Amino acid sequence: MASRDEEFARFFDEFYPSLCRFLECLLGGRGAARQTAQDVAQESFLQLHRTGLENLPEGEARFWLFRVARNLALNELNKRQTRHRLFDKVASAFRAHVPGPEEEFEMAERRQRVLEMLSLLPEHQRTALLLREQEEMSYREIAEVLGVSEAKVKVDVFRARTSLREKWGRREAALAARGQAG
Amino acid sequence: MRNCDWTEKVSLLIDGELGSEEANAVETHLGDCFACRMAREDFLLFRHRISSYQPDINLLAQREALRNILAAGRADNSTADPALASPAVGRRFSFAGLFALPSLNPGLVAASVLVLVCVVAGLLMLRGDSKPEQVATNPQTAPAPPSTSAPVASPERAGRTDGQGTVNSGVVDPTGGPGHIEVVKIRPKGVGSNELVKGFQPKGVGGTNSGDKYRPKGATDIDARAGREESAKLPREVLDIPFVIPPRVDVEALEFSEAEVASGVVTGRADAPTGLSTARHAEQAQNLLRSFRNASAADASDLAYERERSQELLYQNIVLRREAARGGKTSVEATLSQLETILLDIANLPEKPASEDVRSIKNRMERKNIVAMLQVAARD
Repeated sequence: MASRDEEFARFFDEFYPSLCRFLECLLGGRGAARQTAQDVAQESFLQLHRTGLENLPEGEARFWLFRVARNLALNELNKRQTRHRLFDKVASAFRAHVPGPEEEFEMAERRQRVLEMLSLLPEHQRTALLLREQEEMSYREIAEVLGVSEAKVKVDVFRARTSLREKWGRREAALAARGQAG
Repeated sequence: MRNCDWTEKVSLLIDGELGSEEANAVETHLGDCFACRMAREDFLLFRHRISSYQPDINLLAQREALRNILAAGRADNSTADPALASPAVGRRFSFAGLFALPSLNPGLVAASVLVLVCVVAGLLMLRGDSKPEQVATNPQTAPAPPSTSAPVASPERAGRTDGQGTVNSGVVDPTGGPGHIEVVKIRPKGVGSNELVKGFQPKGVGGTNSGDKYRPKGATDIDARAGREESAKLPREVLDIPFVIPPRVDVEALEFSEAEVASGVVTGRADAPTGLSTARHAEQAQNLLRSFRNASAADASDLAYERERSQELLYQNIVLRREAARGGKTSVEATLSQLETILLDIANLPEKPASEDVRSIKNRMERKNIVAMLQVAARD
């Protein structure tokens, strides 16, 4: 039991931070959402512990983990969309002041920009891009995690990049124009 | 922003998904096509931004999470019913557990009503012990109270069991599609195959240590050391959980402070990086990587030079990467970041590396197309 737990702890230490990073970027890591990402990461590891590392083929545990985490995150996103539809009507009347960039620390600001950038993408493109850029998975590995073909991964990653270029470029240009006008 | 027809190939190139012939063709095209060069710059910039994202977690939270999971695992093993055993994990689930009822079977309802009647009828006389008596007098209908050490989980969290080892865990089947909830079989230890892993084929990914065997060699180490300083302040029981960091060349220990670089303290180190140009460094790194690529993995002594040289170049690389970051040269910074992980892996190879490990580093080099990227960096 002890060695099983030790093995699990080693795996946990290695992949918990990267799984949290992936989930934060997938779910959007602001405030409560950040806590949700950590809850989902924890839940994914709990499922892994129940299944048993030793029961998974060698080298596959990481893919299994990201696959479970992604599915849990999708459930969470669905729930959140429902909540938001109800909540937004009320919240719009009490919209809180959004602090300006000068009020935020540089790190938080940078993190925020990444999350905003990723939020411009549809979920399937965002996931494929995150697994590629953060986890450095090959297209074949991403296809395995997402249960889709390699060709789809190739298209999704490319479309994610071009879409980011266009949308982000437009956004930056708009901000620059606003800055000049101001 | 005009896209060239080759833009998709550029995307494949930076992902290392092109064959060498095609990669060379795209490289040649990049020399002539401004739009594609811009696309590559942008793609690498996005890569840099996304991969440098740091999650907001600390070691204490991480230890807590691990402790929760292991405790839940132990509870699973000590009670046959995982639905009752698993404690709520995380804040959200803890609150959910408060509102969860074990079940609403008629027996429980009848017992509750009886308790209420007794309480109303003889409040003073029976105060304090009426409820346990009622539960005890009707063991057939009243469910056994859950163990105090294992809080009752909410249906959302823990699911229900049919007593056959089949648990609706409330979790999307990892083999299923998005949003698709299925019954997941959690089999007793050592019995049969696990349905969750159906469809996965072993790939034979090996590693130098037990942690590496789970990690395709490209995976980035993030924040593994982020909380090391914090650990000095952690409570004893949190620290008791084994926290194993395999012996590696510690990049943090190699990092120079701005003051060190400015004052030239770093010149005292082997292969001092002062006065280096990125182009020269890129050339040196190319030579090293070519030498590593051509080295025979069968003879471990062949790699002693590459290992040592990697360590030397790692120092240079860190300084130059930081300079590139300060100067806003994002594509150079991205290339050097990619190079750094490769150098680190080579530098960390044991004296007698397994051929599997060497091959996996070579595969990563191939995938990242790092030599071609260095050629471009040296030219720029």
